[in-house]
Amino acid sequence: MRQFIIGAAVALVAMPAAAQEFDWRKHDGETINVMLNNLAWTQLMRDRIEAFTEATGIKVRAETFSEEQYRTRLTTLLQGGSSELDVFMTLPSREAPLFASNGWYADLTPLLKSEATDPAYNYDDFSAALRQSGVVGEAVTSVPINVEGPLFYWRRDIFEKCDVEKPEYLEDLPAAAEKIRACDSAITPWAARGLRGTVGYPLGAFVYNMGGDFMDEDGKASLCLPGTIKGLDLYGSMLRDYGPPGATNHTFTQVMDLLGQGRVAMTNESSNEFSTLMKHEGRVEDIGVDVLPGGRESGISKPVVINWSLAVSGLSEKKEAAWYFVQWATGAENQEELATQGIAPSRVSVFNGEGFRNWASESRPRGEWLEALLEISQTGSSLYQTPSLTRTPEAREILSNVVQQIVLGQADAETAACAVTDEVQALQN
Amino acid sequence: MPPRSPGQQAMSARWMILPAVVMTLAMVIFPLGFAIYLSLGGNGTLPALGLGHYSRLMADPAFWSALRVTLVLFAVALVLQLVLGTALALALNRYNVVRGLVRTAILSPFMLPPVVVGMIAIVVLDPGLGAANWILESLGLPHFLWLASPRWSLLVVALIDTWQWTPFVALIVLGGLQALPARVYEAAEIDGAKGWSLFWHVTLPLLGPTLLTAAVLRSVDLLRFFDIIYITTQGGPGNATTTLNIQAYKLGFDFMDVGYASSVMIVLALIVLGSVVFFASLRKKVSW
Amino acid sequence: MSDTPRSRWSTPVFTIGALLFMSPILWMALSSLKSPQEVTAYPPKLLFTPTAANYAELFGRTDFLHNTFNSFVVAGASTLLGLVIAIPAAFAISWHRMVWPATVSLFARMAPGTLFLLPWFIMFSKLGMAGGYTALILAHAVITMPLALWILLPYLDATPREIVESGQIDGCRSGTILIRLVLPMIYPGIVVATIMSFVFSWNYFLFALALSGFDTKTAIVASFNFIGEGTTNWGALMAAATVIALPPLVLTFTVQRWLVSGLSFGAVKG
Repeated sequence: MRQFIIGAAVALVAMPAAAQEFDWRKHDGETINVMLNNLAWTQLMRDRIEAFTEATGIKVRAETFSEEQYRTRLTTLLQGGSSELDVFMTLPSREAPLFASNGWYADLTPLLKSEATDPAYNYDDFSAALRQSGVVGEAVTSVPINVEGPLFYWRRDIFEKCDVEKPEYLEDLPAAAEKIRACDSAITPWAARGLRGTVGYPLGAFVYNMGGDFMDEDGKASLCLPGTIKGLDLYGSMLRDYGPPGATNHTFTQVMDLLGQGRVAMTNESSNEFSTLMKHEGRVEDIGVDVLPGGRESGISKPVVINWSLAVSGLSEKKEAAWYFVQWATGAENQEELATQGIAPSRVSVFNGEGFRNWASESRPRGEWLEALLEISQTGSSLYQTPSLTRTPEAREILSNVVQQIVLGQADAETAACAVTDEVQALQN
Repeated sequence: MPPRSPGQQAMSARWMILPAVVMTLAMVIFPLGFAIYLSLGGNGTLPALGLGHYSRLMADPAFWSALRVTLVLFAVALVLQLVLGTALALALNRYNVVRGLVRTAILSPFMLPPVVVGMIAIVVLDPGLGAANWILESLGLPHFLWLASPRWSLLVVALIDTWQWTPFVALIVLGGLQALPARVYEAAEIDGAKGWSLFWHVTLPLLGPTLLTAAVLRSVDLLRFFDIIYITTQGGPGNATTTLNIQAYKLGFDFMDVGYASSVMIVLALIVLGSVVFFASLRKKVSW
Repeated sequence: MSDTPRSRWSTPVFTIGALLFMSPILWMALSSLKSPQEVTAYPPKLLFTPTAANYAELFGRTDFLHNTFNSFVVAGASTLLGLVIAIPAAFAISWHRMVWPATVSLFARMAPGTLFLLPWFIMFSKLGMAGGYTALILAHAVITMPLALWILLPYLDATPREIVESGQIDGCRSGTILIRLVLPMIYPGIVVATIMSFVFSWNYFLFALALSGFDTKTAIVASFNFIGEGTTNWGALMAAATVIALPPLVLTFTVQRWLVSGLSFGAVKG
């Protein structure tokens, strides 16, 4: 935490120096094409793009798609060698090595060092871990727009009514769930993602906190490790024993609908859903937000933290104008504005800035949410599946399958986890 | 003017077919060729290499499971839709008073985009959130897992598709019924054929070409079943609803294993081709 | 079949049946008038205060009107193109009882749609057509053409061969026979083929997702903008779906009378 704040102070001092000299209008009259995945960030940013055009004279044609459709279109355009696309959104933890090896990212390193970068931009202001997510080899390939991760949401009122302590350790979840069920049968004690391909993100911390990992001590990929099996078992059995019916088809939409409607007592779901959750009646008063409890036996608390980023297409013919857009979109001014609308900023100075802090102090859940984000951004890992250079989505699919078998009672955790050893090892090369 | 010779007839037939064939081939030759090349191990720099992807396919239990799911879904949904669609068409045809809004309403489900149907299914059929279980509960019936049941999800998908596409079959059959020659019926009535026997011995044989059209058009979509499953279960729970098309999409677009995905797509295309050839050659048998 | 039964109960039974058939669609339309939180409420809210906010969001904050226009252009043109090509082909196929052209016409419907995305994108890019209407219309025409062709086949099969032969004896060219003698007899089939082609093209999203440009995006592609982490808006999504469903419904309502009226059995056969 201290380093975080010191970093911010340095950043603030460094900013004003040569700000006025930068020529934002160098690419006046050009048009760039931008493709965005539909996140809360995107919705807010779309309304601000006009301001960019006013300031720079660069016309922006932005299109938004939901994630699956976004990937289909993006893959087609990039594989098809389209030079039309200039800026796109990317999830580095999923695809950075693959995209980089395909040449789909422009190398931003020379641009960052050149006159094409506003001296006030201060790339070092982005938190180090998030910055690192976009670095492939020596090259900076993308710039983080936010910070996010699964958080532990729980209903204070239900816990109080049922006289249940908030779980101090991950191992305490089943007991808490059991008590809640006994006390109020109308409440589903637990909900979480179970849909194929989506499980890895909320599952990761279960594996780590129970002392597990995605590879053994020799660096060989495996899920057949004692701690990993415990983590998979806990995640799967919580859903099986205390989860809502049909959890194997659930992703963030259903989990948040259930929690928002007050029908679920706890979950581990994305920090991005916080603002949506607060729109449901009554939740501002009764929701508690925290980092997922750590493991008692392991003594480990290692949550998952990731970021979405903006990249300039490696095939773009207007890389510099595109970079202008990325600079502007990830600049301190925009992040400050978005932070007060519930977007967790990737810049340290903004995260620690007055605006975000004031916004967070307006309600108790906001404050808890901010503290939790702060913690996961320092202790978190962006790896939540078998480490693989180019086959991350496959690794996440395998994890989902293992968890679904446990949830459906088709296999116990050990059998399911150990059956896929060959598969996960094949992903490593 | 003298009558035109059979040779001239064949000539003009060729000209009439030409635009359809040329457009289709112009649009599919490159994609199919490209996919075959990829499936044979080509990667843009090297020439195509061999049958590696196909032998991997033959040994892949996931492929056989997806094939089974595809064929089960195809058979169940096709039979349901043809039978119910024909019944609906006969009813609509008999009660000609049913027109306007009511008729449009009955035919409406297939006018919704399948992806929208999938989204409605997500919300309505969720075991804990959806209206479907609420209705069961109100009727005093137990809750059902719907699309989340490893055992029944495939059938639920088939039923959703049947709800959507039975009206499509009905509309085709309805048109077919109304194009039937009256003289045949007059002759049949003179022979005393009525009701079920009239339907079985006269109407149904006459509807042959129409039913084949319905069967072909449903088959090409059912064998490549994708949208509703992709939106709702992503192929789960487990592999219960992973069709060949879902598997190919995952391989190609999520896992970026384009060569292997292409081999799945080519095999699927051959299966669909087989079914179309089968139905198209049946046309000769049922024509009248 | 000349005497259509008009029993007292047929209308109420069909009306109830229609309501049941339509209930998911009614649910969708009702949901489009709810707040995003109300759509998934359990138990479902039957009584609620309707809001136009979803439609305001749809037309105010997005280009949905323009997207709908694009859908009309693409669906209209591909329906027309499909019919123009399919009608003569179906005529020849039916007359000569051919198998292979009927099979070939469906080639583009045999492989998964995703197989075509990248090759078509490359192909149309090379031709400078990527992102334009033409590429989308052609891509959708390989859906509408075989659809229309196969729908027309049974109608053509049912057309008495004497009619064509009488035309041949009079020395008419095939085109003339088709337009003057055959088309008037199969117009119910053309109505069905038009409805189907329009609906299929209107609702098809995959090709438009990959091939459309910034200005040619269709409504169905744009409707996906309402799903996303932290942004899922069921209300607006259902509003979009309702708007998308309207044109095919209106089209069917308008043309279904031609499909039936006056056409009791054999009327066309004379």
